[in-house]
Amino acid sequence: MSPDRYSALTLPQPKTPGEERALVDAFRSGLEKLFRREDNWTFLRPLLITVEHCVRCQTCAEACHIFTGSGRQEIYRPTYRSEILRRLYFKYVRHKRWQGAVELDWKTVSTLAELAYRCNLCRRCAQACPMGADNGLVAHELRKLFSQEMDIAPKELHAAGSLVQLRTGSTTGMNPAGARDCFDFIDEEMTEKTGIPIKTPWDVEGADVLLIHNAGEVLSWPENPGAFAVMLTAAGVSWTLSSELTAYDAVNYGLWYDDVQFARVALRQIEAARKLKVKRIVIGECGHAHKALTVIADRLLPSDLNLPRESCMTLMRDLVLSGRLPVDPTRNNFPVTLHDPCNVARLMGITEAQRDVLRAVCPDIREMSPNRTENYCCGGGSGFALMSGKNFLDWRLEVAGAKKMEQVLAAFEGSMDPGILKYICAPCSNCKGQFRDLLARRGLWKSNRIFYGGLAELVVNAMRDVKPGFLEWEWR
Amino acid sequence: MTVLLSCLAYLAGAVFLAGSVFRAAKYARTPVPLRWELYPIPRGAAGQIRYTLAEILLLRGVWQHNRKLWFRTWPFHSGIYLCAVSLVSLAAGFARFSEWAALAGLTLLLAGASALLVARIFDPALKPYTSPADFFNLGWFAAAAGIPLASFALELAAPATVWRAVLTFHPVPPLAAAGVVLASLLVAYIPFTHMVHFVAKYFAYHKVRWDDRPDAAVAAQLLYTPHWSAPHVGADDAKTWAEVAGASPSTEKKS
Ligand code: SF4
Ligand code: SF4
Repeated sequence: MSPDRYSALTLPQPKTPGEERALVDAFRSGLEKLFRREDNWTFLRPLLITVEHCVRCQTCAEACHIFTGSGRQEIYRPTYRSEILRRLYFKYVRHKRWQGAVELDWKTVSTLAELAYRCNLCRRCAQACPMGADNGLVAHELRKLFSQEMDIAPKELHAAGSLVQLRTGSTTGMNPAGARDCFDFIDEEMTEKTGIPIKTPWDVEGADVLLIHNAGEVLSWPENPGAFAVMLTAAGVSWTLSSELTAYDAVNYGLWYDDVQFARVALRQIEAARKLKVKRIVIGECGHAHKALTVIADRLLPSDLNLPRESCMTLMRDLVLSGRLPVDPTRNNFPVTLHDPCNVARLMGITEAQRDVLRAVCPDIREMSPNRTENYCCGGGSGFALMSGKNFLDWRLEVAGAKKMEQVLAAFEGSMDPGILKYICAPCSNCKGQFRDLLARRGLWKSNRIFYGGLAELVVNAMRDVKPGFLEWEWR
Repeated sequence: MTVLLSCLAYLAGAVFLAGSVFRAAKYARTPVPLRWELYPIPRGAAGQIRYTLAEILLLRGVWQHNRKLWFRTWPFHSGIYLCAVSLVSLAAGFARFSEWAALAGLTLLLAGASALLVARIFDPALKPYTSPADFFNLGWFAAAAGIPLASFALELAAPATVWRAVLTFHPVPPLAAAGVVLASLLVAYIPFTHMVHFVAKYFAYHKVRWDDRPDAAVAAQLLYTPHWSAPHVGADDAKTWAEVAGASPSTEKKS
């Protein structure tokens, strides 16, 4: 039962009142666990603050791109799902009256399940909230309740996502041998394209840098990990990739829906780095992986596993600004706009390193407005860029992505002529996936030559030691 | 009667303090969560103090993100602050100033509470999200501010003078006494409602949003026993959180 005509989940279809009751009881048992310290110590504090202290002033509503992008439909208001949870909490966990009516039946439960996946977890609403309440967190906690108690999660994130990663090493299903084959191919391509001999190092003990990419890049945008190999090789950095299970894929989908799956993946990734005795882990252009491994995993790690972890943005800045990678910005003589991935900007505070790099390699930067920590989500956040099932793609492009497209078009105003190539720099796999689908849906590559890609590609395109023409402007 | 009223006022103050401490302790006792910060984080202690003061005194967040509401809620909050200032200055011996602060505070509070009440009744964005408790609370605030003002007009009992009398066990006129009863009960009731958000906000900002300490101890929490029922979690009511996280996803249904 979907509250709109879209669906992100394959929900059970109870056929008898007994089946319905069982599902509702399972939800209720999960609801109680959500507010118990043994079961939910990970987020109990912010969750309690949110449900007990939201004053329902609606200050957060206008901050949400989904609410405004939908033409202000009530079900997408940031507090809509939170208010249902709040009332359920007071009625069924605290046994208090007077906090507003709510019925706990399958309709309510299934509505909450779907609505937990109508929020990008971007937390822009939380930034606007004068109480410190966090409706993004509410969606996160609801997703967790459904996954950890009722085994309900989008198949792209769970059955075909984190479960596959823990079994095979990567959500792409790529095993270590497969990953090495792909990189061999990328090495050949890069050597040919750049004129610099590239050989990706694997499992080098004691390397300065263990680089972990989102493995999806390898399949969808191989030039991005390729560009990193070129930069690190040319700058003479001591680096390596790991062929340990889960450590050649930085993704951690548990971040979006399940604390247990999250911890499992993060612990295995860090363990691989410790075994290799690398000095630090650098995370490639993947926003959620940035936040997962550096911030969210932080307190879970025992001290012997708490290795230094760094964003690739700061590494690139060091390489470019120190002069270790001589660049010629005129090679990037086209308008570029920079998208701030929420996980990197609002949720980690990294906003300047990528701009320092961009300023060094691009002469024509068009900032979106607002930007940095106040950016808007691309609409693909929290796993949505991976989710298309049934008609969910339509929703994420028409509703969730509307605000971002508006920003992009405003940034390129005056340069929409198809004679001018334009580049959306989105240093995050998930965001790139969303931009690819948004631009395709609106035909903006074909009609106006708006392209998208990562930051590393722009750096390599500007490198003096690289043959000109690294960027091929081929739609994919 | 006079003694009873005075005792009620003192008791209300004590319940307010104890209740606020109780609520603070409740949040302080919740387990340290995973890091969940939100940027920008103001730099250094000075930056955080500046931010906090602007938030408390000027309600800067509401000013920036919800101007329409600010014109209702700022009078409400500043009215409460002025009433508190009036009490403190009364104790400090600034009788005249205390009188003015009380009158201004009560007027602002009445205006703010009424304006908020009207918005909650008529604004289509607020109405569906307003519970019976919200109407009750705002109505109570409006009455607790309106009655002393009525007493001032009708009984010529100035609010700060009334409070001085009550706190020193002297009699006050009937309407003024009703105002004191309402205000006392309200003060005692606040810590048990969401209106205690001045406590919660401290935790929201300092212990969640701005808390980027990497080294907060969660070791004891890793020994908690989770009870989640989905098969992949593999909780069996005996394994600790750390054991569950260290294990591979289970396929067996929890018994
Ligand atoms: S989450 Fe915050 S801004 Fe939104 S309604 Fe609640 S208190 Fe107001
Ligand atoms: S977290 Fe983002 S998408 Fe979700 S309700 Fe808040 S602003 Fe909207």
